[in-house]
Amino acid sequence: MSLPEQAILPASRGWLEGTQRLAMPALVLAVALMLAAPFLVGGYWVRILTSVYMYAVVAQGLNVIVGFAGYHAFGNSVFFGVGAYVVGVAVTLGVPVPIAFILAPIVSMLGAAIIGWPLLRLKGHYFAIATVALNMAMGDLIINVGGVTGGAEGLPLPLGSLSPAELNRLIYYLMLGSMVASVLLVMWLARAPLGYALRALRDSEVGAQVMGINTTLAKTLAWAISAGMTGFVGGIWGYWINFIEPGSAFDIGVSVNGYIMMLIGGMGSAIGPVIGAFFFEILSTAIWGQFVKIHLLILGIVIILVVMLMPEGLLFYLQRVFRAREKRG
Amino acid sequence: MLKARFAPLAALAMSVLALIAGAPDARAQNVLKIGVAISQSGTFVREGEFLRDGYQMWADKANAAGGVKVGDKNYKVELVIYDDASQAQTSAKLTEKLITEDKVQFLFGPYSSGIANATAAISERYKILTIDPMATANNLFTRGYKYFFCPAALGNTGLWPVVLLLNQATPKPATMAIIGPDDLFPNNNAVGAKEKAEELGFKVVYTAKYPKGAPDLSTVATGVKSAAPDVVLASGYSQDSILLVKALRELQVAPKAIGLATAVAVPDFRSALGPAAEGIMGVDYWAPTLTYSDRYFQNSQQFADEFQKRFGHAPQYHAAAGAASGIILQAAIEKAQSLDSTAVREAMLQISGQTFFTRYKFMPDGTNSLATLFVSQIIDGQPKSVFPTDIAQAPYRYPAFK
Amino acid sequence: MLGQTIVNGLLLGGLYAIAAVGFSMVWGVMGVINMAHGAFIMVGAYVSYFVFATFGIDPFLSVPLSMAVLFVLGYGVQRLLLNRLMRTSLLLSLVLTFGLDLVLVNIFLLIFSADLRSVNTFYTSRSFALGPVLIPYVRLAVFVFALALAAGFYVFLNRTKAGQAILATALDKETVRLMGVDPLKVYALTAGVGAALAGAAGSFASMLFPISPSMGITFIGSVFVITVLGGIGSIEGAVLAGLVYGLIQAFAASLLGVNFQEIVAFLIFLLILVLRPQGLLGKRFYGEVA
Repeated sequence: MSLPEQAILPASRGWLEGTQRLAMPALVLAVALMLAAPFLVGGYWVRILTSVYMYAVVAQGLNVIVGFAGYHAFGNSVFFGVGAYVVGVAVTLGVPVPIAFILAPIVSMLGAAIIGWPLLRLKGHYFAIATVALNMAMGDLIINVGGVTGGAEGLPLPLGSLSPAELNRLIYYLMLGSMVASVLLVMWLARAPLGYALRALRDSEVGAQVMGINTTLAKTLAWAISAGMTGFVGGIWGYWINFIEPGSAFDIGVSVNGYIMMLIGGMGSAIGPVIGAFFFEILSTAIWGQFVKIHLLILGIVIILVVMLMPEGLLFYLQRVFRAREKRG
Repeated sequence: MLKARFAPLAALAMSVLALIAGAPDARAQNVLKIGVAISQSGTFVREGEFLRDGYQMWADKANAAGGVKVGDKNYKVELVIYDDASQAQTSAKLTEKLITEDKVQFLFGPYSSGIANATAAISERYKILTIDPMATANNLFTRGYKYFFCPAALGNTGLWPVVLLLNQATPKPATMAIIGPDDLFPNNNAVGAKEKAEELGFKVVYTAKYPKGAPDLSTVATGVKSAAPDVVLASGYSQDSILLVKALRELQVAPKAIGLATAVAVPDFRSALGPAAEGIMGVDYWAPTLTYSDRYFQNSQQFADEFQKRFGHAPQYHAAAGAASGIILQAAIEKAQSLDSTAVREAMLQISGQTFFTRYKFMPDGTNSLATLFVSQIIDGQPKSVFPTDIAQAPYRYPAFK
Repeated sequence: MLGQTIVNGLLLGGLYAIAAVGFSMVWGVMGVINMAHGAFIMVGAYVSYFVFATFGIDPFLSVPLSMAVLFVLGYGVQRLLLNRLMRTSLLLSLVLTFGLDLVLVNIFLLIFSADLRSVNTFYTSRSFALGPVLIPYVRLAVFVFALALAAGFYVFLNRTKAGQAILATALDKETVRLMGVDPLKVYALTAGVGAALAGAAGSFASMLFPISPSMGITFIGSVFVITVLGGIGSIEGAVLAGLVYGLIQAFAASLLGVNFQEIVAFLIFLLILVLRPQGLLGKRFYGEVA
């Protein structure tokens, strides 16, 4: 299977027929454009694209724990916040920035492994809201701990010596790199034993256990991977934004948006979250620009519409459209 | 058939017309663009809109007087305003947009120190001068930022006027409770108040910090009750101040005075509490009775009248502060005779004078060494300034409640 | 101080209880986690406020009105939107109701702006003494009415045909079809009733807290904890848990400090989920939706 086909191939579904011929050149063009963007478009658009890539990774992280393992971690944004604070605190304490960036996902992964031990025993709804509670609890914990984390007042980071243009470009490429890495990671996962184990336990946990799969290990690994991805971009975001506060670092909206992007793009495929991220960010920026006062209202309506009309995602919706057209044609 | 052939021509003609109509006028006026990312929705929508109207008031007055003069050119003031939905991240994003896309030359800051924390980092990086009268948290001015200025008094002094008033009251209260939400500005207020109070010989017998959005303060009120202080100071915002006063009344806690760091000026507060608001003291940055003057306004009453005429309602201190920021910026630009942020920043440190809102002389850290505050008390349903005595409209009532 | 703490906790717990009963019911019967429940409470509060501000009618009297309004809203949402999702993944209902919450809050922001509003009656903030403890009139009234409403709901569920249809559907939605009951209609009814209870809670809340479009956020967290603590789908559980929750918060605040009351609540929440997911009084078959 060619590289682009592997990216588009949904984890346990059929092929995306008819578009394979376009896939390779399209992908190459897309990647080239993304690499060149900071030199082609203005700062504002670079910022928007950077956000898209960041959200794509968050959505991809959700893809691993929700799409593959079937554990709906609505509160995954907790790792985003953890990543941000790890970088924030580390930089404030004098740790060199690159090391701080590496620390963020490591701490997130450890956190997921530890908290996963009790939480991953919960099923369905319980797990979902437990993660939401975890997210809110982390925010409160930071506020109560205060001290070097800045508590409720927030944590301002030193400005650093890069010029705004240089900084934006650095963050842009970091996020772009993370996004590409996340796609490759999921592509690998789809064909690795872990990926099969996860999908097996998603479809039937008991059945998977009967087949000899260590479901506890598999789902903990999945959550750790998901947390690591989310924590990494959370850390970069913290540094970028320069001022971290509990309310926005642990904003449940981060996971909800990521979840919606994953839904829009299609769960279980490597490139679905990316498509979803592009679509959603562009849509919300356009709405935001036009309807300043009611953009949240429109967002709410969009969410409702997406869930009602395309619960399986844009990708599969298009797939069905193509198939129907081929049958007729 | 005829229609089809002409269609492309028509389309072409229309496009050309559209291009011409949309093209910038080659003889465009000189424009001074000032960016404003501010709360026009969300938690701080009320305060954000007051502040924005203040900025606008100055812009209108300046333009009516011919604009801002630099050299031999007159610059028309244009405010580029975006809604940050009371979110720090959004405000930061918008600030960057204002600087890089809209190419504003200066910035007027958002409401709330928390949000300003995020935007100040951006404007400082790009070295664009920002004046933000509502960003009064002390930590904004300890970071060594050069391009961030605030004409109003800082957070730690927020409750000082009340403490000073109580210091003069007879009989002087002995014990005090200080409570507030756990947030940037309120914490500044609370810490500053405690220091001042202890310096003046008060005994602070009870302090409490509650979560920012706490829906219920009966436990705090219970704590206050058992500590039985003579007076209570609260550093929070409108919403929790309302809750607090209600909770204190429910538990029949009867201090001799209640002093708030904010809120008494805001009409919501008074109408939400009804008769329970009577006697409560609050700290104000401004009242229409002040007598400072500047080139546009002879005194604060004139500002209040003109504002009322322009916007249809009386101004609050946020609006006054906003307008004053514009007046100060204009003074600095005219002193620097330049629109370059670095030159204007230098000028900011050299100018001093009055606006109807406050006298000013800026320190290198961006603070105004001449900023002051005063106490208002709700007497017969209306807020009246009561302290310091030289600008008081009425004598203060102590004990405040019957 | 101890007595006052207990009173504070119990009285507030009554309000929390009624806020949670509807939510718990909807979750238990249909497996729908309604993220817009906080917004429903907010709507109820505004209905009462509006009636009070325009006609001067006491919020306690406008409770039936806010219940009616919310019933229509809840019924409508279930019938038109959520019923279609019942066959697909139920977790989508979480996302959909999240979107609904956004829509409701923002519509109200547009109409009413973020101005704080408050209901002030002649007995607001007045209290009477019972020994060393002060009992505010409003809180006591809310407590009594809330519990009465919960009791009424319990009777409705167990003694009326409609109520029993709801209970039966929760137990086994396939078999009830054989009894001539359409599960989808039952779901709509349940959603309507759940929303109506939220509306009542909102009316009560309007007497205690300042009202704003985003007031629902402060409730939804507590409602979650109480629902799980009491056992998803159990009314008695929700009421008991509401009172327990109120007490825990009051004690946590007075012993540890007010800013700890949230953390304590969450810790309890996580502990319950891990140690005893069916809560205090929950039955195993409720909430065990795939």
